[in-house]
Amino acid sequence: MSTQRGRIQISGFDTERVTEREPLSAWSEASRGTTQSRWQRAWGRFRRNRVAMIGIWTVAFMVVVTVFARPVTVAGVTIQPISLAPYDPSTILYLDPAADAGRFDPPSLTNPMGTDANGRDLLSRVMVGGRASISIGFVVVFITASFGLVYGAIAGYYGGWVDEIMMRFVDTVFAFPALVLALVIVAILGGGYWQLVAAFAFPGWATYARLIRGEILSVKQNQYVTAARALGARDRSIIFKHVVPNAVAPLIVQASLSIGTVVIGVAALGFLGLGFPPGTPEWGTMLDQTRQTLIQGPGGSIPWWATVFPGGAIFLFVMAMNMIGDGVNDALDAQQVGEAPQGGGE
Amino acid sequence: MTDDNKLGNTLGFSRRGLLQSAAGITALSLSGCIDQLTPSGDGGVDPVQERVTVDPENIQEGGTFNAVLASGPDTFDTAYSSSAEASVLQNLVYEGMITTDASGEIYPWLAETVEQEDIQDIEVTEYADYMTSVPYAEDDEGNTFIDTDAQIVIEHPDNDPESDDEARVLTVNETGDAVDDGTYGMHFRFDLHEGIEFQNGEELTADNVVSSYARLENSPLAGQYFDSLLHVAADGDYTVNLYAQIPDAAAIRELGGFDVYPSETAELPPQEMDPRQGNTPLGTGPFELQEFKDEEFVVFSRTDNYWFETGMKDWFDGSSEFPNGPVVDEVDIAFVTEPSSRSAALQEGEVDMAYGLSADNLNNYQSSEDFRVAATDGAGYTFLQFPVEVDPWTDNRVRRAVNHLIPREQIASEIFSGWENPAWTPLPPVAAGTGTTDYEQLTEDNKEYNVYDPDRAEELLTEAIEENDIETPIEVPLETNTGNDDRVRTMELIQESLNQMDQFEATLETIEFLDFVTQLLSENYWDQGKLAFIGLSGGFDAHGYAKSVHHPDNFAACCNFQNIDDQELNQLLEDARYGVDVAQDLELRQERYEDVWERVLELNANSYGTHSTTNGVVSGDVVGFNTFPSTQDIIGYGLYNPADEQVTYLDR
Repeated sequence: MSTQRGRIQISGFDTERVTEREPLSAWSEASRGTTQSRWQRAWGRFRRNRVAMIGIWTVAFMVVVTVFARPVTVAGVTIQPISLAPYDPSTILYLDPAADAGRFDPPSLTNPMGTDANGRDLLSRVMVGGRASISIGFVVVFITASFGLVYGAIAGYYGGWVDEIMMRFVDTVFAFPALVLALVIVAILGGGYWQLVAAFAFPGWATYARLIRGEILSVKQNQYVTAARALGARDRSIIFKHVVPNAVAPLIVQASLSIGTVVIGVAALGFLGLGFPPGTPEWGTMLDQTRQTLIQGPGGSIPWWATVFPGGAIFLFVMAMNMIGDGVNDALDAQQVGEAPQGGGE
Repeated sequence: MTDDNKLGNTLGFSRRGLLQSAAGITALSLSGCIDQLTPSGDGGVDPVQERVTVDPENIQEGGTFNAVLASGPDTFDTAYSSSAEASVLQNLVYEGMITTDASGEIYPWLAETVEQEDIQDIEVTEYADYMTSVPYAEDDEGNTFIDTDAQIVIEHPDNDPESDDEARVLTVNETGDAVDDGTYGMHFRFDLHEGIEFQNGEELTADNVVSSYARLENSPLAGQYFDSLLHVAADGDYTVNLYAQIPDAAAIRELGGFDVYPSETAELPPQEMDPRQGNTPLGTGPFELQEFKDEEFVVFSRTDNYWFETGMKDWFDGSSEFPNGPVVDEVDIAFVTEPSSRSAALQEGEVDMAYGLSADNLNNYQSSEDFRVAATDGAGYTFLQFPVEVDPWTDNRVRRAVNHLIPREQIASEIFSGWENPAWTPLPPVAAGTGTTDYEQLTEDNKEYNVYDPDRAEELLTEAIEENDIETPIEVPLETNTGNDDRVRTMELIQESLNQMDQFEATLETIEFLDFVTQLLSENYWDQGKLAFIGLSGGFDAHGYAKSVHHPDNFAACCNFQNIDDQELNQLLEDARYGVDVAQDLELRQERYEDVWERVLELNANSYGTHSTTNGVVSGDVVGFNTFPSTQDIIGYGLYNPADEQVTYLDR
């Protein structure tokens, strides 16, 4: 019996023919790049969106102005000594006999935005006025988005009766108009910074919860989730490492749009005389204090500057935030949240 | 018209009790007839600025007078009402036995004559024989009170709840016995006009007066009457005898004018005399209530067969053609909270008269040819009351320091554009007749306490802080009511002025008017350490301007919110009003009040802000309208008051 019997001889696999043949494409090791994450792609798209960038610069400018308008002191320690505003926002100019200022002085070189109903410099007040509104906007959105994210993720991931109970509670929160609920909360708790945060945070988280829960219902069907589960990953790890990162885009869009909504809401409560004590340099409260000037007696002229400048500041900020929100929406390609209420559209 | 202390929230409406002065009364001899009071001349300066007069020949009858006020009535039940806006409406329907003109002179009204029959120099201890013993009890919050349902008229000065189980008191059940035995301080006799009919057709009798005064018992107004009132009794159908506890220079003015109701409504349970309770308010007044919608509007029509005729009054010396009642057929009053909306309604021709407009708007109307601002030196003032029982406000130097930081001149000129005047003295000019011998001198003397002077404030504060080891900055929680932008602006100015001192850290909270009043009138406000700023509407008598905001009788009522009790001031107040000497010697009384103001300013439990001007703005169709010093009768007075030959008609 031949020892060669039954052996199969395969030929034609000599490596030289393979390595020396003509390349099939222009790709080479040298020419390969790293994979671009979708966040990077989004940022790229966002940066190319001129409208969104105008929004970003506007918000950044307003934030810088408001932070540096007057020194910031925390627990007696000055942590920000710069003072861009020409006057203290609470200084009533006519109290100083030497000052040539009165109530409702029109814009001038000394007071570029004029003075308000109490003879205070409007420019300084508009500059400082953003502190409350803007920071409440960011704080509320951070709190509500974080809580809504966790809440919605748990409801969506576990499903079943957990989802049922949790989402019915969300429905209950939705049953109240947000601004009216905020009004009630402020009426109960009284005015003040953290009371306003609570007033807007309480109804605000539900939108995020419902949004993220819907996303998660779809994301959790993906095979990588099944795989993670099969590999024995814990629920917490699956939710926050695999599910949430893939479901968070609409939440970010919603959050960016909500900042404007909250700022409008704070201003609305201020305008209704709630929220902050009278005299507080806050845009809505400032508008409230000049509300009565809109109807003058016969022959009276409206001190337009007292309403136009604080109102303009609100408009500018909310508009800019909406431009950013739209930019983020386009960048993340998360059009499905386009139906969510935008700033001013509650 | 009623003479009660009322809180106010709108501009110039500082409502304060018409604790009307004894300006006219003190000129009375022991049994003088009030008819002769009229030209007493004590307070006879007309406070109406640029009064417009009407030639009776030109009067056009009829039409609807439309007005707009800031808020509706809390109740039509006078004894339970604390709002000045309510008094405006009440005074159209109800009348009392006496009335006053704009300068505070007293005139018999439902009464044909009023006589002071007797005055006796007695002390409250002389009522001891008629007093009964009533046990003390404690309420849920541990406050001791005298446990009786009957209105207490006099408490024995020796009562001591700490050591005794029972208090000795004279209640309304025993006052008749004392009077029968001749134990009383003063006796007034009111002879009513015969034939006056209430709006339900019932004829007015002395019994109606007695039952109407009984509604005061245990009501919020009880304190303002039973500090002097002893007993009211009918003698036959048309004679009312009214007794005061001790000789009281302000007795007739304070006690004689309470509203008189027909039997149908006088017998109603407390607070039920109100359309919201299904009961139409009824009186003898020139207008009848036709329709009332809570918080929206009220409609009055002229009373059919109104009883009054100028010929019935000896004191009337005007034209025989002067009308015998208002000439407009109907009065429609809308309640609109926003001053700017009231102003808009006036400009649009929806109303003929708007009240409580902002100072800025008043300037516009003042310079317009189509409107007229009817302005009168007011009986109102604003005041900041200190929590005198709470540290560091127990030290009057701290309070006086705050007082020196109130920039009254700027408040009057910048915020009120001159429509209010700095309160250099606690006494407004409208009550000068009883409160001082020389108002200009008093203003001069008192001004040093009230000038804006940060250096003096610093001195006072430094002394107090070092001596009492007070921790700085001192928190100053200021509170005032919403709905009055000028008032809120005033507080913002004071807050800023305080915050310019390192020693103070002032905050400001604004509270809806009725909620604020409820808080202030509760028994729990005084230990919360808050500084309350509000307006009060007063009257022609000097007494109320000090007593209402200082005396323990007014604690948890209008308007001693902070449990102020200064023995020295209490005594000075008593000496200025009670006693045969001051009841018969106006000058002595005036001198004694000058000591009162000095003590008020030294004590500084209250800082007086501004004295009001009462401003009603009328359209060109309205002829003859002038305002009353007090908000409480702004419409009723404007439409008809024969004492000033005041009448308003519509020329459409």
